[in-house]
Amino acid sequence: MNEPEQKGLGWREGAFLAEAAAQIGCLTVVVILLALGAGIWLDSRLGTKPWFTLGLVLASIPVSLYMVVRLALSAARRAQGRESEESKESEESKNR
Amino acid sequence: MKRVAKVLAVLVLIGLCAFSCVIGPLGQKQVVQPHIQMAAETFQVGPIKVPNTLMGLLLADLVLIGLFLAGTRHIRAGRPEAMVPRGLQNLVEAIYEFLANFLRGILGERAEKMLPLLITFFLFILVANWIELFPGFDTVGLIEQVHEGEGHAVRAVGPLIFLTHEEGEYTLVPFLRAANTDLNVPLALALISVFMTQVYGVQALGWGYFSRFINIKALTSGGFMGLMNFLVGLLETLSEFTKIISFGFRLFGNIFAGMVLLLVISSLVPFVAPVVFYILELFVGAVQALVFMMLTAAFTAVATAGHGEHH
Repeated sequence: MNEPEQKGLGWREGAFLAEAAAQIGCLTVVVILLALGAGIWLDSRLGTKPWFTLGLVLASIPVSLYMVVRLALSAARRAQGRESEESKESEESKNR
Repeated sequence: MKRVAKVLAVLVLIGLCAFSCVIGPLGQKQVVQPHIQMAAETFQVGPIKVPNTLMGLLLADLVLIGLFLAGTRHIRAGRPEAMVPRGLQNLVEAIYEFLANFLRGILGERAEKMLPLLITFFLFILVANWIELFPGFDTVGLIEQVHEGEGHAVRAVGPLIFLTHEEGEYTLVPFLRAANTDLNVPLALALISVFMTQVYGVQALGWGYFSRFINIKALTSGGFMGLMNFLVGLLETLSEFTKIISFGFRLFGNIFAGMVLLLVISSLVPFVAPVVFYILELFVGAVQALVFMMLTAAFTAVATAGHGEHH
């Protein structure tokens, strides 16, 4: 049985996917490094080693995961919105 | 038989835990502060200085090649049992099918030519990232004298030598370190990715592909908008170079930061707490491998679709 031929992404969709992937790729490390830096600084200032470092870094894990999921979902929603807009446009141009 | 294997696996795990619980306190009463160095540490093998990230890279290669050679041995030998996959072959086929279908969704019929490169990117980066989580990485190596910076005193326990938390003049040069914590490896992968994107672009669109970078036609016949198009082409040339930097530094930054995080947390709270971060690093390693593969696929989709074209 022949499978339907897949077209794949075009120029705009490819650029959109690249933008979303690049953001997702950087988010986790930024959040966790900020938490680590802040924790080490607070511990050295307040003499509470290791509690602030541990607490902030532990807290940053669910925060970063939540942000990654939100970013991915919003990218998917925007992509769907874009797709439906484009299909509307092409239908309108056909009707004309 | 399966029950015996399960019992053996549990015994091995208990043995490893017991070993680390005994060996740890033997070495020192307080945990050693980690020595973090961005460049790969080197050790002398004959006349050659070998970076420990190269050892990590070779080990990742061996694991990957071994896994796929073992998983495809029935297929390569043309045995009939290859038609009904079992065990490792199942795993290897499932990995391939999942990645291939995912990439076909992005690249469509153009994917077939690019699958080997893209799947190799994913698998290599994944294995190279995850292998760092095995015991022995960053922790077992040669004790050497410090030439610059702070060092530690050492303490011998039988044939083993441990660094202690006291100040001294020794440091540890680990035998193994994750390949992607050396900027050279992610940059090399980035160069291959960007170069191959150009190759696929030329294969799909011919030499006209380069008109997106230097659009002489638009400059000579397009008036003001032509001039703008020409300038946009120059910006696009610049963006190809920035891709190399962003690819390389994203992967390096994430994996190096993961290594630092594990070392810092293990030195602060050596028991239980690092487990959470090991799980996080599993996630980060997989996401980075997926992001690298997806970005290469997306840039290839852009390069092969032609400017302004969309499906």
